[in-house]
Amino acid sequence: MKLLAIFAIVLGSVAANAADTFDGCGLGWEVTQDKTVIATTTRGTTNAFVPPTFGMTTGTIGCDKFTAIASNEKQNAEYVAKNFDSIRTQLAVGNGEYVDATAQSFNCNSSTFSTEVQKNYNTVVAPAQDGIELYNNLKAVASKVCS
Amino acid sequence: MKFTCLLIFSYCVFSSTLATAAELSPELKAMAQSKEWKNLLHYKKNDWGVERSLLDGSGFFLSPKGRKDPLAELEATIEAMSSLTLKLGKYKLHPQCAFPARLRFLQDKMKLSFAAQPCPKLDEFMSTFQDPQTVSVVFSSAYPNNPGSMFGHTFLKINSKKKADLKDVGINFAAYVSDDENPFAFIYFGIMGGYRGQWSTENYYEKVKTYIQGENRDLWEYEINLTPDETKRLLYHFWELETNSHFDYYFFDENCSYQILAAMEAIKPEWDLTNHTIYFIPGESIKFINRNPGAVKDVHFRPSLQRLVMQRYEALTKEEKKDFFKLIKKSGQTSSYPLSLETAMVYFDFITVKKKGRLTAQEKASQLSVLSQRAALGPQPEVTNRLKPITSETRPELGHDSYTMNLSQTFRHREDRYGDGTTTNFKMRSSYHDLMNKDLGFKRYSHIEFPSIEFQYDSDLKTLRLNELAALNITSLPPINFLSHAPAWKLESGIYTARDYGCLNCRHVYTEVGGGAAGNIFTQDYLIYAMATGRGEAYDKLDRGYRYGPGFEAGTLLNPSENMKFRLAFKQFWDVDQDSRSRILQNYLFQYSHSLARNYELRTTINFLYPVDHPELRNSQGTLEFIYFFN
Repeated sequence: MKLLAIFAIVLGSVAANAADTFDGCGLGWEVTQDKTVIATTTRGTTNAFVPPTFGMTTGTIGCDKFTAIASNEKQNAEYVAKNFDSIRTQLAVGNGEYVDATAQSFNCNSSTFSTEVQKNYNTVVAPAQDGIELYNNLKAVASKVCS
Repeated sequence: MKFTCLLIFSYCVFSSTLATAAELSPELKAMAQSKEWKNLLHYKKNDWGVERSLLDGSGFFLSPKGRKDPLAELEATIEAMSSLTLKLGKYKLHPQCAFPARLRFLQDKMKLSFAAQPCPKLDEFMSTFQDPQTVSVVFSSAYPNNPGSMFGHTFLKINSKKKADLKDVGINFAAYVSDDENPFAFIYFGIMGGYRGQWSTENYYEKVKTYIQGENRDLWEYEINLTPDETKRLLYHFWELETNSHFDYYFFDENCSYQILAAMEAIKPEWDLTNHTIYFIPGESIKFINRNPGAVKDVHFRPSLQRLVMQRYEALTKEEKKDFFKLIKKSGQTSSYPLSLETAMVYFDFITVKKKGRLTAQEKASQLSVLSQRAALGPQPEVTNRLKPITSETRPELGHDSYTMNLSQTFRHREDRYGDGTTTNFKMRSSYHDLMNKDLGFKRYSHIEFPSIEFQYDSDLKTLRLNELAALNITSLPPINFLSHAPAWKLESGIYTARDYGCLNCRHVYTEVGGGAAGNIFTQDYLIYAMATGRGEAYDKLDRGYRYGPGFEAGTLLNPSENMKFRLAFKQFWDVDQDSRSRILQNYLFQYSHSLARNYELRTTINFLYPVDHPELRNSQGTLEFIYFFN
C-alpha cells in the first residue's frame, strides 16, 4: 500500500506539469462579433468546428489595436501577430517559410517583399511594438512594392 | 388547399422512397454489409466477435437499431435524406447537411438522388479549408514530461490549394479535460474512458507553435494519397462525427491516432489502418499507414526550435561562438559574423517562448540589436549552406516495433549454497522502448516499459518461475545544455527477484524513484548521468516484511555507432531499517546491445551484486539475450 502511494504521488506530480504553456492577454481571448475582447478558456476547451476564433499567445499581438483591423484582413493580421517573433527573425535573415506566408497575405512576391523589408528593417520592423503595428508597417511596404 | 398539396407531396416522397428501397432490396442488403458503409458507421468487431459501432454519443444513428444493424441504419438514412421535417445534431440540420458523407455514399455507390437541400453551416465549415486538396497526418514526437504525451501525438493538417503550409488548418482529436482537472483523475479517467473525445479545428501555425516552440517536439507530416474529392468526403465525415455524436476518449486505444485512422478508413475502405493488438501508439499508427503501399505521398519534417538553435550553434567556429555568447549575455554588443547573429536570433526566439514572452529589458534590447545587425548584412546564402542537415532520428516509422519477445540464457555464479547455474528466460514486453534499444525513431536516452513480464526456467532445479514483472518503468535522461536544464528522472515499479541475501526464489514488490542530471560529454553520442534514488520493497520473508532506503545511481551510455550501445552503471542502496542482513548493497552493471535489423537485437548483460557487509553473498550473472520486436 505504501508503495502504491509513492507510485501514485510521483505519477501525479508529473501530470501536474502537463498544463498548457501559453498565456498572454489573460487565459486566451477571442474577439466576438460585437468587437469586444472577452476571456475564454484555453485550448482544451475550445469548441469544435465553430468558425475560427481570434486568440493570441505571447503577449505581442496588441489586443486593443486588433479591433481596428478591417474584417477581411483579420486572418492575415492574426497570423502576423501570432507569429511576431518568427516573422521578425526570418525578415532579418531575408527568407524563410514565415516570410513566404506573410508575403502571400499581401499577394506579394516573396523575394521582392523580403528584400525590401530587409533593406528597411530599422524603419519597418524594428520600431513595431506589437504584432498589429508590424502588420500595418509590412502592409505599407507591400502596397509600395507589390502592386 | 395548401394543406392537401403538402399532404400529397409528402405522401409521394414517402412512397417513392419506399418503392426505391423495396426494388433495391438485394442490392440494399449488400450495400449495408459493405465495408465502406460499416466504416462510415464505425463498426468494429469486439473481442467476443460481436460487430457494433464504437460511437458513444446518441444522435449518430437514425434507426434505433443502427448501432448494431447496418441494414436498418441504411434504410433509415435513405428515408431521412428526403425528409421534410427532420432536424439533426448540434446545429439542428437537415439530414443531408448533418450527414453529408453518408449522402455522398448513397449518391455515388447506390446511385440514389434526392432533392438537394441548402447547407449554409456545412458550407461555412468547408470554406475554412480553402479548397482542400489532400490531408497530412502529422506526428509530434514524444514529450516525456507529460504522461499524456509520452508516446507522441497525431493530428491532421488539411492541405489547401493555394495557401502557404503555415496557413492551412489542422484538425485535432483530443480528450475534453478542464484546465483545473486533478492529475489523479486525469490518469484514471484517461485510461478508463471517462473523458469525452472532441474534434476541433485550429490554424496550423498555432499547432506548429505549440509543438515546435512551446514543447520542443519535432513534427513529421505524412501527406496521404487522397484525391481532392476524397479529402472533401473525409471532412464531411468529421463534420458528421463532431456535430452529431462523440467518442469516449481512451488513452491507450480509442485515442487520437485511432480515431483519425478510423475516419480515414471510412473514406478508403481498401486500406487497413486500424488493426492493432492492445495499444494504439501514435508512432505505431504511422507504421500502420505506411503498411499500405502508396498511402503516403510525401513526408515533410519540421524540427523543434531547440534543434534549430543547436543546428546553428554546432556550425559556429570558435570565434563565432565567442561572439554568440557575447551577443546573448551583454547588451550593446556587435558582431560581423552573420551566423553568430542568426544563432543569437533563434536563441532569443527560443527563450521568448520559454519565458512566455517576458524577456528582461536587456534581453529585449539585445534581441532587437541582433536583428537589426543581421538585417544590415543583407542576403547571406552561404550561411545556410554551412548548416548540417538535421537527422531524421525521431522519424517514427524507421524505429523498431513496440512489442518484444526476448529469449535469453543466463549464467550465474554464486558463492552461496546455490552455486553456479544456468537459466533460460522468456520475456514479453508490450511497449515501448528501453535505454539499450536502438534510438532511431524514438526520443533519445528515454526508457518506457509498460508493462513486461519475464519467466525463468532453471535447468538444474527443473523449475519454471516468474523472474520479473515491470508494471511501469520510465527513465528520462535529457542531456543538460545551455538551452535546456530538464532534470533526469526515473520511476520503476514491479516485481523482481532479489539475489542479495542467499535466496534464489525471493520475489520482491518494489518501487524506485530517482532524480538527477544527465549531460553529453564530447559528442551527443556519449552521455553520463547521476541520480539520487529512493527505493521501497515488500516481501514477507524480509525482517519486517519490507525494506526501504535512499540510494544512488551513476552511469554512462555510449552510442559509438548507430547500431551499437554500451552502458556502464553503478547503483548503491542503503537499507536503513534492518539489522540481520547487509545494510549496503552495490550493483555493477555492464550492457552491450547490437541492433541486427530494425526488429532484431542482440544484447549482453553482466551484473555483479556486492552486499558490502556480507561479501560471501556476492554473486554475478551474465545474460545473452535475443530480442524480436513486433506490433
